[in-house]
Amino acid sequence: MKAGKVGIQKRFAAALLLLVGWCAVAAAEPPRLLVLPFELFAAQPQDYLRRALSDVLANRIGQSRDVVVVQGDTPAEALAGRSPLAAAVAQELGTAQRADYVLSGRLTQIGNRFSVDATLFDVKSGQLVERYSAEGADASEIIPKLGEIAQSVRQSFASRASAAPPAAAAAPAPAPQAVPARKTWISKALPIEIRGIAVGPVIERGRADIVLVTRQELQIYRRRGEDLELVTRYGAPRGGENIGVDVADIDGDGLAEIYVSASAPSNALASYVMRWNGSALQPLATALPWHLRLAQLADGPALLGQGRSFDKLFDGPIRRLGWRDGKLVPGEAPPLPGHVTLYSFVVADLNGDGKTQVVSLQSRSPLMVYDMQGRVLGYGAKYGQSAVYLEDRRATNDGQPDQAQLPGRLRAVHLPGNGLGLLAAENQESIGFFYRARNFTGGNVVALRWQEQGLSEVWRTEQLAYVADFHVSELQPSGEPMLVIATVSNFEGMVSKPRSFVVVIPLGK
Amino acid sequence: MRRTAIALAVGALFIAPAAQAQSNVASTFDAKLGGYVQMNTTWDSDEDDNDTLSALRKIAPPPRKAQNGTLPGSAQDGQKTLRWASTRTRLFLDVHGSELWGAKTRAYVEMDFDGLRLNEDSGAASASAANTPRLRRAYMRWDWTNTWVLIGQQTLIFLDAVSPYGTTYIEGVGTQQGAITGGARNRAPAFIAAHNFHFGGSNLEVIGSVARNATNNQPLTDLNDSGARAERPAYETMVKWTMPLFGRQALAAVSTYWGEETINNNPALAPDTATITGTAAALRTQTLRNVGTGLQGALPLGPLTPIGSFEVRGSAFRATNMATWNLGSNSTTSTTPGLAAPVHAHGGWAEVNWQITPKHGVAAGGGVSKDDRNDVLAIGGTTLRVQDNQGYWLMWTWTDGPFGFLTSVSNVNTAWITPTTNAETRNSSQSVHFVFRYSF
Repeated sequence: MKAGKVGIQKRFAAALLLLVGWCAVAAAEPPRLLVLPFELFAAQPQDYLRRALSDVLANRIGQSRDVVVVQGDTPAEALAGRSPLAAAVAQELGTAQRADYVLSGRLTQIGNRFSVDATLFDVKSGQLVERYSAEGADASEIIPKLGEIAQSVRQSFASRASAAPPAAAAAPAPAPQAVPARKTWISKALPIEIRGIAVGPVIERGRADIVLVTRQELQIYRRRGEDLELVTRYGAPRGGENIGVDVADIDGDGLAEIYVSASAPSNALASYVMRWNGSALQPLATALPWHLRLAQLADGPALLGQGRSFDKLFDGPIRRLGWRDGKLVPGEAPPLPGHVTLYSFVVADLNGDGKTQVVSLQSRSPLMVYDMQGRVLGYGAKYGQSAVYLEDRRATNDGQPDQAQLPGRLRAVHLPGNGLGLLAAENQESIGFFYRARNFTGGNVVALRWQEQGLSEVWRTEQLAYVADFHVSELQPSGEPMLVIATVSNFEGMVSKPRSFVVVIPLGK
Repeated sequence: MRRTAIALAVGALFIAPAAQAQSNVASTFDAKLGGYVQMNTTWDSDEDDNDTLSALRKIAPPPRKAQNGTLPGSAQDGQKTLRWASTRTRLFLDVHGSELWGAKTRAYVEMDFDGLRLNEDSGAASASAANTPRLRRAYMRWDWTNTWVLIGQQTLIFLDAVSPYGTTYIEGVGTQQGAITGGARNRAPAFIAAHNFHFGGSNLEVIGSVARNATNNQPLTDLNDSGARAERPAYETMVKWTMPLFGRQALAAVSTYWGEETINNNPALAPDTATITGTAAALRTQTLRNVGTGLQGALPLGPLTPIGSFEVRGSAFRATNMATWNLGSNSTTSTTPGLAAPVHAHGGWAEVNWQITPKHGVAAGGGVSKDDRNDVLAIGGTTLRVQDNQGYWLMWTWTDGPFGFLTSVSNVNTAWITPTTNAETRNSSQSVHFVFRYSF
């Protein structure tokens, strides 16, 4: 009886601690940030850009819960020809708008090249807090570069928020600000078998949607509070079967397109691209004879494609894909080791030695690390086991067809405290020696680091159900990168109903 | 203190990723056991004394009362049977190893249970299946980006670029010796090498093989590695062209086979035989060649449609002294050195298939295989000789994950001739197949 009482007291104390910590967070007012119109240095300065650029920055920074953006009505005339980058001007205008910080910027354009420079001032002290800058070769890169600066500003405010002492100093809870943000979130059970997941602004600019594919459907979800709300769904065209999904804004309209790899009857590829037209999903391209994947190359992420032949699941070189005259067309083939297939590889300088490595997951092979000449630098474990089984037609009278369990996704991400690392899924099986019959018992996402001595695990998530796919994205306005994992606890069968979950784990900063 | 501990514990629950560990990880081999369990149930209008069930009857038996009154027929004619077999079950071990010399390496061993059919008492060939495991294929393979090399026992590459629809998904359409769709199931120890040339979206694969001359034309049939009595290997080539068409792939392939064998009048007098029991003067030998040429293709019929996709496939061959590709019993007109002449044969098949959904498909096809009539007449004697075989089939397949099902109806029309009289005898045979397969 006494023990039970002590247990209840402990639980009550823990709940109280959490509650107090939460209240402390709620009580702490986030700082106010004033974003000033941009200063323009260009051969033909276009005045609308002054406000448009600051609007973009304000909107993107405004996704953070660690800062309140006060764009206000600061008129361009208030600057009265003065540079917004001057500390005195920032302090004056910031004080007038009751802002704690002021962000001001300048766009310099020479020919096609441009530079964006921004400065963050502390209004009270009038001191410069941080500088940000980004350059580009073409005007089409201005918006993405502004996004990068916004990301840096969000991170800056997030760091300040986590470093600041709680407003209610009397509350004894340790670092309560971090608790809600770092909580692992698991969705309600979804009655589907997820094959792929991607996250991006599909429906609304600046807002992350969760895109899932099952064998037959494409579904878009949005996280509302603790719920995952189905926004829309779309059946794979022409009786096809979805293989995987990515989202990316390749056409540069500010909204991400959805790129779905799919196979069709007769084992052809019939991949397709969808976009949100304002009220529903609309196909941009269908029956594409490509496996599609958004992959990390040395110069950044790129949409890539690889074909399939009469009797081979993957055939021909991997090529960059791009939009031209409304069609998705293949371009150059990036240099890659010959055995690398499309779905699971990254190209990056993983150990910061200035040399690029190619890391690849291939069916039936351990994780491989190559140099750019195709030499094997190292091996990892057999990560990326997947339940997606592809079988090509059997061309010969008696031979086995080309068949493979597709390797799972591989991502290069910044691992807090460990530099650039890799994320891969590792699924466990109860019987792992059958060619086709698989029985998955659970999975993790594993963080890996490549160093001189080889590949090593940095951390792994807690044990989850079978990991179908995962994505890293700023799912919430906090700006903190989130590991968004699609797990499957029940596979679809003749008599069994499927069940899947979406798990969100903060990666930390 | 206690409060701090509780707070830390509660906080830790929310902090993920939880486990922080450094561990070295490395492995290079992957071994998988695979195969399938299969049962064939076949209704035949005429008894088939060949125990291997395929989805198309190979040859119709001669009629019970032979036409033209030349010769009596067979007891099999009109003897309806319902036969069952699970001997098509297969098991394989597939090992993928580390990269070696820049190539992915692999070892593969496959067996079935459609055994040697040896008589339990004498060891001689018997029509009753022994159902012992039988080595089908065993090879090592290296795969570079565009090149591959295989060493070991594998299916002959000749006429093996395109298979009928049923074979593609579940079960072959008479791929045994003498069958209409060719005999590419012959396997032989071989060295095979191939290289792929990419031209835009098209691919040209050039394959070459040096293998045991495996035309089955030799008298000692109980040798496990049966083949021609040949001193030289067989040389095979194939050039395979695939290109995108209607969002799918079209294929065209040309293949050749060349081998040489020596027949003699008395095996005991062979020069390398330790004990010579005859006189050297009696030894006579004759060298015969085995030559084949094959054309194969697959053509998508239009783009994918909401009701599925259509495709036509087919192959054609000409063969000389190749028992597996003519009608089986008569690769040469005689076994006597000096008198033997090769039998020429030709044939082909075509099939239209409709893949309705990823799980369901329908195919209809027909084919013909003929030996040159004059060659058959040159054999002489009064034994009925198969000369012309034609067939057609309709099949439906259903696959769902590891499970596969095929049902088909087929008909075979066979013509025999009696060489001494040139009289022709015809008969037909029908069969209905149900094939159940579970792959693992």
